[in-house]
Amino acid sequence: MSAIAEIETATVKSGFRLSEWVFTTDHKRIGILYLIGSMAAFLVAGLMALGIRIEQTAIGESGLINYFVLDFSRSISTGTAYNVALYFHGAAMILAFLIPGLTGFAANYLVPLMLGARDVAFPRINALSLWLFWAAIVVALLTFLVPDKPDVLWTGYPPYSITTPGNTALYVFTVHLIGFASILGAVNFLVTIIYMRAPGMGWNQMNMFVWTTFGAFMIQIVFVPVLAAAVTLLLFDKYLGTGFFDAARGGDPLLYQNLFWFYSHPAVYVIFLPAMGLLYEIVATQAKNPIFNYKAAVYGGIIGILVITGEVWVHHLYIAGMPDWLRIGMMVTTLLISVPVGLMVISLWGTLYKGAITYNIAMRYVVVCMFLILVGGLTGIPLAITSLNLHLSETSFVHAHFHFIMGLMATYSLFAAIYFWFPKMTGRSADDGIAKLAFWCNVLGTQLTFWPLFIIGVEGMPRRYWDYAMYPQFQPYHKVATIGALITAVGIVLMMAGWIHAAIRGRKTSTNPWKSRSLEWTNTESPPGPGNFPKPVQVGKDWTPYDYHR
Amino acid sequence: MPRIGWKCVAFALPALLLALGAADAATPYFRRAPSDLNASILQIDEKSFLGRSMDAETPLIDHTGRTFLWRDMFGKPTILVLAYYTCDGSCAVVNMALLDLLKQAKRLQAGVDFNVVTLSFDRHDTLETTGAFRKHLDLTRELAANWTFATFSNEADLTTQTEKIGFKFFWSPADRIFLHPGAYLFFSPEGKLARVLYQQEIEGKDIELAVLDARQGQFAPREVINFALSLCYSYNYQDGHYSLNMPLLIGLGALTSGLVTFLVFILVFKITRRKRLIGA
Repeated sequence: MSAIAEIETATVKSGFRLSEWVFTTDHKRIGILYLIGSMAAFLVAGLMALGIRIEQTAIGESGLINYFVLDFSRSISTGTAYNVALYFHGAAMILAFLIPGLTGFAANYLVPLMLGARDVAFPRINALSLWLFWAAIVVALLTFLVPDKPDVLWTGYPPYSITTPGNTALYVFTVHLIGFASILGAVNFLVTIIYMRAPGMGWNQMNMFVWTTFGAFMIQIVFVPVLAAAVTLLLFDKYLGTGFFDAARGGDPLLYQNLFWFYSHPAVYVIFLPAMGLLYEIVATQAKNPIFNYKAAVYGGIIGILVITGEVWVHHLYIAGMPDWLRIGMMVTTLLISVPVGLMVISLWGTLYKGAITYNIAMRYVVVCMFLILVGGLTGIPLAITSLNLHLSETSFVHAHFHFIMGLMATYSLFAAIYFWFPKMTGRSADDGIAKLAFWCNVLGTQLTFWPLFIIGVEGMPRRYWDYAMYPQFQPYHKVATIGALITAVGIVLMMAGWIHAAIRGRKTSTNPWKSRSLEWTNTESPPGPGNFPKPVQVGKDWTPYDYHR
Repeated sequence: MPRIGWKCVAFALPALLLALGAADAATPYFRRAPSDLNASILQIDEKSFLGRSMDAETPLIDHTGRTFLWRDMFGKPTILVLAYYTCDGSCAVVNMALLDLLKQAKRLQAGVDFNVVTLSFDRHDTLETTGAFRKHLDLTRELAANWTFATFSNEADLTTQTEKIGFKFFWSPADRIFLHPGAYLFFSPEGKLARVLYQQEIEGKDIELAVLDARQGQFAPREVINFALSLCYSYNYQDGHYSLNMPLLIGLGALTSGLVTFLVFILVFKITRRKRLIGA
């Protein structure tokens, strides 16, 4: 029986059957399972962030961070516990929340629907990707159960990761599992996008989210194996005694940093692109406008980013030894990538122009995202410039910058997407009073957290210090940041409780509550049944998913 | 086969025993006094001295009698051999080995890409001893023009400057020689010690790679190949020479593996779809 036929027979029967979910090959269920997994990672990683902030509230050792990493007997030092929390926060937020949330949940749920396809090209491999992802979550969570907790941050830089008594293997295996899941997901979706578009749908008729997903998966397929290779060699160095990154034995620790950032900077665009894609979909629908300058955003923006993204990683290593021409060259490419990014941002803003904008909860998050992109983008410019980077590198300015552009913007775009497609997934609306309250808590809380970090970063507050006794003048800023984190935590709890409540008892909605023109709203019910569409989808030559002006 | 008579054996055996006994008895008289050679001096503690430099204003005198400053060597990497010109042992060997290694090194050119300096730490060395030593090396025309043989102008610099870069030497009265490391010291264009190689352990490519290493990543855009070479090899402290940088090659291999996987999946999809269509 073919995989597609299996999907058709695996109909959603009345009631809930666990086995149907565990062994599902339906892209929508896989998407939802990705969402559950990534939100679980988000909660634990967020808890770590809260612990970090609480530990830094005042100068000196509170030791509270040990409790956050489940070290109740305080068998490890506060500094190590802080590093463990920082490791889990960084690794889980990026590898287990943002990337799987955007390319696992959103791509899985939406891409086949937007393409008019009945499923992805390889449904079973899609399920395997999900299992690998869940295995990665389990391995990552072992961090809190093993006595030698990994404390290598999300970067795993040698020589520390080789010499530390912490369990570097957990970090490596988590990266391996997520990496395999990503590669399998990438090949699956690239084949789906190339070959499974509805009859009549040309490349220029695809949703922007599909385009951005295409870009993100292209990056994944090229760059993930490099990271996988680097961490494998790290594993060999630590446990088999090789010396790939040991300078004393002919190895090169700096090369690890290069290999790591060769993947990890493009990974920023693996997050940024689908996040932008989600924003495009929501803006176009809520403003009832076609995408402004669609082709420039696609070919100048997305393809431009694909071309340049592999040539900018060195800006993470400006303070390491390298030829000046390379440093300057990478400064140019780093600044240059703001051109395709700028094209996408202009296109996003332009889509609002003269639109009949409806500010539902998803749209409110989108507006905040637009502000975050502006702040994150502008604060990225001094970091791209070598002379300024030397002063700002390794300060909390960098910390605040990437939280604005990558952390908050991508997270809020995902929240916006969940609210926007909630009626599609559940047939109910999550846009209620709780959602609005949570929105304000989240927005105000995170702004209170990160603006002080910009200020003290410029004044020299180093990143990744668990204590800052030498900088007592920064204590008030840290206090404000912690208050912000606590407000955010309240917002997150409210928001998730609101989702659960809405999924069970939320207001029922129509099939297409936002009056969208995209296929996932117009050609199927909410939630869609197995096989996605009651009738095979075919689109005309002039059809576009943003056909609002006819 | 000729027969060996018992008389021959009777004469030969006592003669052999006598000879062995005499040799053993005579040995103490001909044995030289135990050398006070300290083996550890023959190594430069690289980890402590990399990045250190001699004073840029140190005056030196070259084989033509011209006085110049160590600073004059800045601007390109410099290979420095510390030796003395009346040495009848390792100094000539180390310099001649360097000559052979430089002949093997085809990518880089002395005088153009790097400087070569042999510098004496013996206060007794003069223009004559310098000239004789240089002549003895039988340099090629090209190297003769670009290899500087020099002595310290100020006697005080002999120890102060060499100590700054971790090079120790002392006179061994028992051996009647200077004991010193037989090393090639590579300096960056700014005069900082960047690498130390030992004559016994290296080949021509190690000299080239050490020169590139001494550039400390500073390459012009036209020197992409040199830059790539400096990335592809890294110095192995344990073995004392350069070896291939495996992680880089593995990383490059990994870079293509994702795309290959993608192409395989496309192929699988097309074959499966064709089979399905034929089946339908």
